[in-house]
Amino acid sequence: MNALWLIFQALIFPGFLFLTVCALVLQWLDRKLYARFQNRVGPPFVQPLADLIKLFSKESIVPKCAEQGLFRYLPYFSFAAVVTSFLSIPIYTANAVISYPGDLVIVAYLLTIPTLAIALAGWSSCTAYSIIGGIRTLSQLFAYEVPFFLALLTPALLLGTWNIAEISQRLPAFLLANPFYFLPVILAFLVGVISLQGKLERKPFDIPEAETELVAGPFTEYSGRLFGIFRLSLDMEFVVGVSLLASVFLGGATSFFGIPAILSYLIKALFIVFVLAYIKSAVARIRIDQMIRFGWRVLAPLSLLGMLLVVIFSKGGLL
Amino acid sequence: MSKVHTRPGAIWREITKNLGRKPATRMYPKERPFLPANFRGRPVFNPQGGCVGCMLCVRDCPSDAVKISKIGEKQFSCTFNLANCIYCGQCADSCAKKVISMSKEFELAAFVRSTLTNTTDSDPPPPKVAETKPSSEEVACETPEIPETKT
Repeated sequence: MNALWLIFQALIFPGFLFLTVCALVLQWLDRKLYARFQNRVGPPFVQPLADLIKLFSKESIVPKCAEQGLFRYLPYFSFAAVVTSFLSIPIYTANAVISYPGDLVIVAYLLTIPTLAIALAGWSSCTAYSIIGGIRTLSQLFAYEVPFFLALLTPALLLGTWNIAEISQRLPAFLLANPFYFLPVILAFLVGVISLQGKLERKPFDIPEAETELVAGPFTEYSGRLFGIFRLSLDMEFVVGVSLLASVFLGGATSFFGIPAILSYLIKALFIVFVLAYIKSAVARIRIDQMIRFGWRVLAPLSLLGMLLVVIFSKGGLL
Repeated sequence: MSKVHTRPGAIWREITKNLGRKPATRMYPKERPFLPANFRGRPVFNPQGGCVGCMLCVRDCPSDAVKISKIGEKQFSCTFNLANCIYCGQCADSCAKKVISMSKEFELAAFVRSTLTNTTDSDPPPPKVAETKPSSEEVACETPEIPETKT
């Protein structure tokens, strides 16, 4: 029974199926918000599903000169990593399906795999646009990954735990008891949101995909089902990234004012989606050198400052 | 010189306002577009107009889209090839009897090429009566009535 329950959780709720639905709904919401910010109507509700069905029903064409194995299996690697990472994030109760000490680091690392898969996909496609896209993906990875990790580790350092569920349960009460810590946590949250935007390759950090210069970057040669899997895994990465930020910084599925846990999670996740869509519509794409300079000169020092504040406040005996 | 906004995110005020605005998108098939008064859509031949077969439209058409052929005594048939037509309105402009006019019909896409060619035959001339007709100059000065279709 226990094993069956675990399989149900992994495959149906809150695992694979729920994640797929979430990915499609959030993609629609993101596109709709983006359209409304730009004074357009935006896609109908079923558009993401229709896109996905269309991609799955089409032929996947693999270029002759591409690395056959890599090209075919990379979408599935990316997909598997994202689906696995979602199980450690609390969704409908204050505890996650699979929760263990240190899962924050594991989730952060699992979320790096899609990026690596994209870079390798670009590299293995053997055309100029995709290779440039792949290289840009990797260059960008080094700029946002460090601030993203440091931002996630700020609450972890504050509470002395690396468990996502524990952080999301304890952080709100801790902050209310010690309001001084709002400063480093808000700082880390801002850095986390901006670097998540880079991680998901959304504007202004959509440099690897840059459709005006690189066609579709690493995905230039992808089509049909393989592209569908890649797209779905990226949409899922969006959900996981948003849920991770909601859990680590906003208390995730920890209920407040007596509302149910899943509603609490959804409200916080939708808030972050709104912020991400707002950033996406407010800025234009920057160059790769500007992105890397911004990552290392602004984001990384800011996230370090957040950690430093935590260390000074807690270990320095100021509070 | 007006202030140039180069700061990233300088548009934030505008996009925030957009959230509360009605979208600029027109939901086309449901919502009909507004067509200006002199819109040039599909050229139409008026069978009762009294075409005299002067061929001015055929000569002036820059894309050979009009054909006039005689089908009887003072009776002509007009064929428009819409695949060639560039909707310049020159035929309507040149027509001495103002038989050709530009309608407001603009949804002209077709799956079959032959449907783009349409032929209209003019009505047979009325039987001769011993009344005084208006001179030809008066007819030429008449302004054509372009049918106003509702949009």
